[in-house]
Amino acid sequence: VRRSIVALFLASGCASAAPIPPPDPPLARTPDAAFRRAAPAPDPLGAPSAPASIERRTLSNGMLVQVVRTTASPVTSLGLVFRGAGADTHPEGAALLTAKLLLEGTRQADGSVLGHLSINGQSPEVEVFDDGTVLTLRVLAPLALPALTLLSQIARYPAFDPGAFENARNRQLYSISEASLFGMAHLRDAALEELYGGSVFGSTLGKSDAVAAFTSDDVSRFYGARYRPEQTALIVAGDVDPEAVFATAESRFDGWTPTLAPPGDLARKPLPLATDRHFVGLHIEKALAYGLCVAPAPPLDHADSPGFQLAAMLLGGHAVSRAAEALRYHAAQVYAVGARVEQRAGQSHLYVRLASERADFVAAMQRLLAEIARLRDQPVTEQELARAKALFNTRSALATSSNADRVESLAVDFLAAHPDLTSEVRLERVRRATSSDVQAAAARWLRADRLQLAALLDRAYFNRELGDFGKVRWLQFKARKAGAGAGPESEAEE
Amino acid sequence: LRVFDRSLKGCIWLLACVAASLVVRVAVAQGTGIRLSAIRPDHFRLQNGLEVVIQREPRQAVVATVMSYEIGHRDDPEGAEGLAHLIEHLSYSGSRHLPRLGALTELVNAGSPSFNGVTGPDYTFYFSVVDSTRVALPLWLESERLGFTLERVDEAALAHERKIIRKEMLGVRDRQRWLLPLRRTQYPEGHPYYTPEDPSAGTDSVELAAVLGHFQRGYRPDNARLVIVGGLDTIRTTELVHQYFDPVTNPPRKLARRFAKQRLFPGRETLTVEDYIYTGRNLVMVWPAPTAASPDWIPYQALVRRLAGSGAGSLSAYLVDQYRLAATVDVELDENDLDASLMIAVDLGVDARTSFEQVELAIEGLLAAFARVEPTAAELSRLRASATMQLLTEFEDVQKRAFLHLQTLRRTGRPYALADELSRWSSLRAQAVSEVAGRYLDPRRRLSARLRESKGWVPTGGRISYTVERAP
Repeated sequence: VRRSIVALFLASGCASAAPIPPPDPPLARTPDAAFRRAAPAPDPLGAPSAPASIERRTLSNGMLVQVVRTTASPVTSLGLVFRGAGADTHPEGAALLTAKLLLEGTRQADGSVLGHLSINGQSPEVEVFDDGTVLTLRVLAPLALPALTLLSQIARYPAFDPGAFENARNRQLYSISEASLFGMAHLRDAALEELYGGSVFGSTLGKSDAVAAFTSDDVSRFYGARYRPEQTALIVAGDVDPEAVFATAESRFDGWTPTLAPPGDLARKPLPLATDRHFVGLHIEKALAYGLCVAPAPPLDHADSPGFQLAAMLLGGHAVSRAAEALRYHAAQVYAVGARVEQRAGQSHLYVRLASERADFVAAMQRLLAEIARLRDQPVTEQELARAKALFNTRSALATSSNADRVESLAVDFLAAHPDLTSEVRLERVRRATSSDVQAAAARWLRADRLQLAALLDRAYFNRELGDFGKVRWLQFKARKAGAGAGPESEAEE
Repeated sequence: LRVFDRSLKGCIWLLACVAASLVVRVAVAQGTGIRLSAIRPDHFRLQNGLEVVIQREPRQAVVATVMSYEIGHRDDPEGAEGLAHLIEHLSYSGSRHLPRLGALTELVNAGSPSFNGVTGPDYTFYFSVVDSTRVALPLWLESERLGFTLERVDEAALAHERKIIRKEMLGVRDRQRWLLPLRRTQYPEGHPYYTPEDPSAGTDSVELAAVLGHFQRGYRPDNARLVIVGGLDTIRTTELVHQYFDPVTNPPRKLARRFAKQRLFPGRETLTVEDYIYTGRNLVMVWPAPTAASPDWIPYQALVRRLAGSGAGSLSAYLVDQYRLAATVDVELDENDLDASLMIAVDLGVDARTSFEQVELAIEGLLAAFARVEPTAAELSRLRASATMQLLTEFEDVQKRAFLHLQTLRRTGRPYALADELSRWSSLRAQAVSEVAGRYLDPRRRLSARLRESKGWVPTGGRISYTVERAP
């Protein structure tokens, strides 16, 4: 009886999935032609248009105003950029709390608080970077000048209302506990700690204990010392009259002076690498194992920077990079290999990441190291160099294709530790880089002893599998909600 | 001028094309006062059925191209789930004129900063952005995919992509495991949007002949659309489209698509899930929603804008700030061809005194209020203004605009018209917004998922245990 039931079950199963018909011959139906045999050549008819020009003026209080006039779009983007009011400051987390509170209301001339900040339904947004804070607003072109007035009001007369402060602080505390759920962020932090022998970088959100202890005075102090006209830029991109923008900016920001003395800059010097380092294993239960390789990278103003940027593009990338070719297209060990150079608190790092099934993980990491060694030891071909430069070039074009993009690009340039290294200057430096520059930068910065490896993986499976990578430091990770602690819980060395 | 040699028909077509492309559309979107300036897109169909939209945007230095096929997850035969995705991967196997990975290498060599292939529930698309001097490159690559790839797909390519897909899908499962019980309850076995427990079982077992058959029936000119937007020359680009795609012929059999009626919510369904991946307690409530083809779409979009965000009058303002019942509230609209649903996800925070039932009742009560109370004139004005700004901003981006054309073509058979969209928003009535709330957010027809952290560790890859309770 049991066999019959099984047979019936199997038969019904087979019957339910109809067979998928094969293709109809022939597979190739389209007539061939000579023009299909090779990639079409570039067409001069599609030559790119000239980039929009930028008009700059410095106001009497030292504030920079930049206007990009573009007439095609009805949307105008505005940005107020506060250099020095970023996450790379003390106390950790105060920059974000201050920035969020700017959006909670401004004090008007009669002393009342205007809580609903918007122009024709558009509210400003704020983003905190390592080096500063950027306040942006997008409006229809005829509303550009009123929007500028609103931004000046927000920047100059923040209400810092006690009730709004409590809500903003609670939201930040919740965001801290939410962020603790992201294993890759923990992995990145753990790798950097191992690389430098301790925690040396702050975070935008800050630590929960410190943020919980913030008072509104902390926010006022941060604002008073770090929101300063001479460290601020107003950027406007859209169908606006530059002279009208300059005149309005002069009148709205006239008389703006900071209430406190400027803070001393944080010392930024190259960090020495720790001498006793391990492979960091962060235990987590996932279907895949996630690997990370971190290396210190040359700062933006270093002569190696252009070559290194190109080397990073050749090494990793979701489509065709050296590592993707080796690990995905030849070995089928990973779905993708990502590579990114990031500036953080005056330091640069290259992050290369991959994800693999457990059985393939060790081989995949070894293959990644082999590709890094190949980049270090063997010349880059002219074709590879041209490919990386073309990618850099088109990325730059895409990064300024809308008014919002233009504002963001100029804001990033203003915040950069080296303001003279604008996007255009960096692009030009990359254009001039040679294949020897790329290999020399890789050889200097990707030395085996500078690489730090880390992985998010299941300890029960990998406990004895990672011997090829040297000593392993295991961290146990289980995210917790606010109030119950978060992050790596315990550690053991093997 | 080479196209003049072809035929009289070609001449007439070209003249029409020239006339159309020279029309710079300077329009004031009805009722909005916004002055729009855009070159009218060219929309035509080749003799083999390929539908094409070309729009010149002279201020852009790049060109975005999207080629789509009406084949998606929903067309995967039962037992072969993931087949459309596998075919998308295999379409990079090389072609008669391109080596394996050739399509990717050519785009990388041309400096494309953005390109990929994506398999969605309803359709598959391939997009790229290139420098405007390289507009012909994606056309060549896509014509290779359509006309000359099938002959290069073999057992070795299939075995290789199976492995890659397994890794990709396990990564997706790692990120979306929390959603799996909900999706499987919403779309049970047999529904075109069904999600199998093992994400790669279907692709692991399907045979090469079946893959080739499905590929051939889905990837054909009369099942495809091509959209090109950016700093291009319209006449030259149209000529290139004809050159590369006119000769591509349709195979005899076309894919028979799978359909299903919009899912009925049979009553009050409550799903209870315990799993180690959850942190604390989360509640996800789901209601049916109109699809983009419905006349309710714009009022419903306005309703979602009303509910979402953290500003005054939003769900978050009530549940988080006023009642202190939740730590966060997210509102998300999931819209596909066959079905759409609204998802309200709530993190209950750390206060153990708040129960799932309390939060469910609070949400249902608030939604009932949204159905009773129309937005005020000021609120309606804000909703219109924020939608307007979003539409204008998306239109500025060539890649987004190409997708807007594609989505509108699929829905209406016409290219995207920004002025029409703005006019639809400007004619939105307050009453319509509360009406759609009453019609779709019915407390008697909804799914509520109570997601709770399990005690102790559960082995990776194990089944997620959950129960579904249905009340009439």
